[in-house]
Amino acid sequence: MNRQKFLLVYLSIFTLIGFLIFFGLRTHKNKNFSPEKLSYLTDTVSKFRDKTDDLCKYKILGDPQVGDQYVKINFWCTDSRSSRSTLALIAIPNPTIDGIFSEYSRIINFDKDLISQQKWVCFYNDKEISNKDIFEKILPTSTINCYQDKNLRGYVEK
Amino acid sequence: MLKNSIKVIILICIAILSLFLRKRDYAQIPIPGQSTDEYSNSWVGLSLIETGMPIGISGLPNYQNETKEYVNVDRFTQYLSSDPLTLNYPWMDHPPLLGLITGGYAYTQGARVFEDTIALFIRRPIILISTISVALIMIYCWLNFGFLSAIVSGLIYGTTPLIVLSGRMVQSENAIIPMFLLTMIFISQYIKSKKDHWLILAALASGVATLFKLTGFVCYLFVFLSLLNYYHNFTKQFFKDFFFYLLIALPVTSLFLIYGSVYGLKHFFNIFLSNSHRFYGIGPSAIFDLIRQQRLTQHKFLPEVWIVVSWIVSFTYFLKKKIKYKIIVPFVALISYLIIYVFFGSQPYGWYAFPFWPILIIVFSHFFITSLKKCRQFYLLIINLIIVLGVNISRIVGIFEFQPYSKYWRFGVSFILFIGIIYFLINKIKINKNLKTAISLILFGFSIYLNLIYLNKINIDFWWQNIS
Repeated sequence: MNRQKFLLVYLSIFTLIGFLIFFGLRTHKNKNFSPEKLSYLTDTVSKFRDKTDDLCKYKILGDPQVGDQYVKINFWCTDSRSSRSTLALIAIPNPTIDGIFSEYSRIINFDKDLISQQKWVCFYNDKEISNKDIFEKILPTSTINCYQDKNLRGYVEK
Repeated sequence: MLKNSIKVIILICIAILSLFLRKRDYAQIPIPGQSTDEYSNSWVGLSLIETGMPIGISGLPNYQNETKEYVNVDRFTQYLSSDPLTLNYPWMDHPPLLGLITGGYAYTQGARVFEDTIALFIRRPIILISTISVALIMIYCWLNFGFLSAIVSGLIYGTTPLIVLSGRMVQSENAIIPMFLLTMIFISQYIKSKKDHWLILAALASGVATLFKLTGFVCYLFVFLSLLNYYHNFTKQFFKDFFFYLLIALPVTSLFLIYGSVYGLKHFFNIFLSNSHRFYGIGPSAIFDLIRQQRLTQHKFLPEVWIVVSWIVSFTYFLKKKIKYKIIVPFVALISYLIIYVFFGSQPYGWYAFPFWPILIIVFSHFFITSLKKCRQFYLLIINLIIVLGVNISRIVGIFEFQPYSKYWRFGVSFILFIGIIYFLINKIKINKNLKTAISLILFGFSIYLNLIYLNKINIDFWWQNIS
């Protein structure tokens, strides 16, 4: 084989491939990337994941390594089951009680309205959450407890 | 003698068995999320396809764009401690080829967002790639050491539990392995025939290896050392061949630079520099740890006796006065990756050690077949096979369940060791080659059978109770 001849053809082809990749990728990026597209990729719930109506079924395990910048959210069911999760505030786009419910329902994949439809009673740092509190800014190390039955509260605390 | 077509069918059967073992419960074990790199690699590919912007998880400083997100793919937050994931873009930690394969495959299956890249999709191409690695090991051994060696290496690499489980993980090393093996095959063929097309193919495989991860540079080092060994010195012909090789391989590697330049060369080199300042977590005991404990991830250990005995066997090659060229190639490959491993070392993630394993198994299979011809070496082979057998039995049978059989083990192994040492010391007694082959194959076959039994035991419950 004539090595020089081969290299000449090979390097010419590669130069062409290099240009194609550079300009093709740059055009693709400029056309298709945006902050909205980034949020779409990272925040959209998968169509392959089951949607649940059982709020005690899934949880977010463990304590995030974020110092005191966390919020605990617990769901207590009447059949002695519970779902206890901790969320890092740094990953919550809207750090209000409503924002926490929205983000938690997205991560777990349930309809946020189920909380009111199933008549869950929720407490924010031991204070019952009313409609007017829902947009209150949440404080670090807070705890949200939601009970399927209000009477469970005393039972759980014991 | 077996016809070549029958031999090929036997090797295909071993590859199919390997594929079957890798495919079984692949989306559950190893537990998805225990290495979030598996997802990150695929997200890089998926985001590149969809937006032209590589987005992935990185622990490196120097990234200007960072976002913390909960991405509950495969619902891994249910059973694994879950911090929000740190996503960076444009992600430049590694070249994107693996992500394009796994993310691209997920895309063809309907994945459009990060949560869609479930293990069920992203691990499928890896299973195929790791099965190809089994086939390449067999091809290498067949071409260089003979058919029996191909069967031995294929069966060990195809059925060893740690290797089977690791062969399901979306890690760049799993893609570097077949490229490294191809480079070895092509270089050994080039040296046999001196035909340029083998060197060209070796260069292309080397270049592609670096598009999976920069540790793919092991192929460059390997070719450099192999050619040096062939020419015995820095001769004119050595430089001629090596520069020809470089002129073909480097343009392929440079595609990563071209890709990086799309997002700004300054950013590309900043991340490159960050990579070079990684925490040296493997520490000074790295080589000892490589031999004594094998891992799947950083914290999931699954010590594997086949790998330990292969290390032991590979050390015996240091002691030989003359090493034949055929065995020098895998030996050079082993040392090449050891150099890369120690040089690039960061955290002691299990996958950094994956590329050692096929080479070690090749060395062991060569040792296996040559032992059948050499008296003293045969004794060492039997000791190694007894070590493997013993460990494999202990995985299946608990110490109390073993007691009824202990007398057979006690007398059987003592007898073999006693007879063996007499044979070793006198060194004049001739043992029929067929008898030696039969003894070795019985011990070997039983060990492989126990590999299969152990793999069959590994389900989700077993994983949580015994491995995680």
